[in-house]
Amino acid sequence: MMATLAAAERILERFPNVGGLRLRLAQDFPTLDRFNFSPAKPGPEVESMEPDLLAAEVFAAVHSASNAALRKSCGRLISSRAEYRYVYFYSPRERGGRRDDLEDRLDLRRLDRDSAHGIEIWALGRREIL
Amino acid sequence: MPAARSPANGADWGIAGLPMVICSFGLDADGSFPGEMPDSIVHNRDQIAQTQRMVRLSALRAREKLRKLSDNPMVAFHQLKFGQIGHNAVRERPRA
Repeated sequence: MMATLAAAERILERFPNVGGLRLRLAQDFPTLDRFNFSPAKPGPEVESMEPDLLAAEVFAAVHSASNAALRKSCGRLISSRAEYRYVYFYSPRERGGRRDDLEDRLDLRRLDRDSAHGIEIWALGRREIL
Repeated sequence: MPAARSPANGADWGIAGLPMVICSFGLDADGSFPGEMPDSIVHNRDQIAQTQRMVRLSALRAREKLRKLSDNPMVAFHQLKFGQIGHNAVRERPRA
């Protein structure tokens, strides 16, 4: 939840005229069913109100490789029609900022070569989360 | 966001800190679980900052509620999650 809010803040900083973002703050908690909690409709954690403009997947994990979260997030974005696509994640063990190294490791430019703008991976800083 | 995993099979609970996990699970300040969390739409950074403040405050209150169940809020939260105690118990201190 805090990572999603931090990611939205970053996006608004970068796109101040985006015209509104939809945040899905609680969709990653399937066990909430036991509490009769209905998660939000599926979709990226952050997306522009304007259709197909921007989508961002967000997660927090011990490590970006935990449970293949990064790979899964990128996979969802590759099939997204949004023009601008981002993965934001928080991991206490990893440096913040743009993560070209992870983009290269996942070979995103090859997997996603049909799009005008590639998927960008950004790590969030601790101060943004807590 | 951290997935719902116990400390035993994944340390994600420790990332955002217990208050954030509690709040993410929807444990409200009065100890109840809201039925649904709607999508949120934001237009500016002020709205985000306001939401962040609300989440932090709600989490702190929730943690205090859990402290009434156990000196270790993590234990109480774990018991709630796995049904070892009912979440109504948050409203009452079950032990002396």
